[in-house]
Amino acid sequence: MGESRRDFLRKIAIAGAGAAMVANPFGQAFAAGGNKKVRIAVIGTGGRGRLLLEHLLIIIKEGGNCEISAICDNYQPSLDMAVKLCVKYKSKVNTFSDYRKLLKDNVPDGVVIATPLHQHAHITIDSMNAGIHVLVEKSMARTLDDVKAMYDVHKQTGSVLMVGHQRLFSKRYLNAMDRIHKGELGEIGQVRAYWHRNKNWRRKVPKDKPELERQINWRLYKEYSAGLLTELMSHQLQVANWALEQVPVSVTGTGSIRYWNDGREVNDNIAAIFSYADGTQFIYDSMTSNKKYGCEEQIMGHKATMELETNKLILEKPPKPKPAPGIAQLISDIKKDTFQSIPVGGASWAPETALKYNGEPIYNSQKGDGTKEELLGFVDCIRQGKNIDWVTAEGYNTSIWSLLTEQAIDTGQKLTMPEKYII
Amino acid sequence: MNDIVIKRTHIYRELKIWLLALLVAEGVNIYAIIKYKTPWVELFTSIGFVMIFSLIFYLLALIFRLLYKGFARLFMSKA
Repeated sequence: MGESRRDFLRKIAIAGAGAAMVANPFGQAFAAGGNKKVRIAVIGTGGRGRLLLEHLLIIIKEGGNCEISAICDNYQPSLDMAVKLCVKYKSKVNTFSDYRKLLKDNVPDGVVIATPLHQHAHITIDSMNAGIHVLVEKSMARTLDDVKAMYDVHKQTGSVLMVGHQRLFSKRYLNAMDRIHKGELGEIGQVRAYWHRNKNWRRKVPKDKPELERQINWRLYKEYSAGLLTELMSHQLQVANWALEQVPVSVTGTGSIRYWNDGREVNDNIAAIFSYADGTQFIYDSMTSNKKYGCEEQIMGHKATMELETNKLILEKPPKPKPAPGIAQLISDIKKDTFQSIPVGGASWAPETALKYNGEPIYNSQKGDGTKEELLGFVDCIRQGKNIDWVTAEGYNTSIWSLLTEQAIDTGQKLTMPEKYII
Repeated sequence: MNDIVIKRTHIYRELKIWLLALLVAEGVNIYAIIKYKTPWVELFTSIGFVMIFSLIFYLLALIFRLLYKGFARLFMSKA
């Protein structure tokens, strides 16, 4: 049984910047939760998988009513590091190198899947068919058909399916979205986002095992990943869709391997424009050879702009500062009249430069990026046997549109969503 | 070297001059309040500025008086 976005937002009571929120908004959302100890397995213990595992171990240490039933990875060094992590937190776990054996022998209540992208679909589908709930890292799958198949199996089995868009669970983002949807920014004309890095995105491959290159650096090969689109853009596309409460109607894009000509197959820079039914655009770019502008999502309305990554609300009409005392203003004017140079020529047109006003914080009490809250939410969903449908739909639509962007870039065409993928 | 004798009349005179400077400074404050449309409570809250202004005016007056006296003595002795 699902729950609508409005119900969800009402339950977690995020309205108003001053609203008091406890550490876990889902703890409030599902206040009637039972006491069942939830058994979670982590499949895929690479960098992201271990981060998720550590968050779970912290939740357990803090008294969360769950346990790590097993961990699984087919790459032994990653599995070894995950075991060390469990030992650090005094947690005993079973280890597996084959997820099918884990599903059969360990039968957890839920699995957290953080494998390379091309493995998401079959592990997710097998898990849900075995009656196990799934939190799968974004994006959902490598192909459009796989994304749809995962969604269909979720609907058939009734298993919880969450996609790892952790911003959906960040109190800062929840607060911002509530204010955006209430019209605080006015009419939103455009959303812009970017993610700029200056590194090659490569992981070290053991010198004596060059055959592991594609397995370790799977993000760089088209067989396994759509690169920047599925690994970075998907996060920000989800934020744009969430802010606009719509999914795009078309996408066009471009991309190339411009700087890191090192044998990779995915683009090292991309740009895309998404159009929405009401005329709004989402303008996106990502690159890997300059990090000056970093990562940001800018929601731009006619009254204000929100910059979500850096937690800023910038009003179009900044509040006027309290005026100085009259006598101080008089001194200032006399000083200006006495010492200011008199222009005798120059530009008659001033460029429309950006406002020199840094805005105010959106929300200050969020620690972390929402990953811990996401895992708490997953555990609660399992305990309740209750899916949050709009969260699943956010993940689904974002995955579909990320993959459509890849096709738009590869074909140079403006693409719309094929009807068979509309949910 | 002669002893410097400060009489009560001297002190009163200097106090009167500083009081006049204070009134002029407060006048400047009133002018600024009207010109910049700031609250009248600044008559009291800007007292720090007014005091500094009054001291500046007093010092300016002192410089002019010293110059005047200096020139006057110079010309008197020549005459």
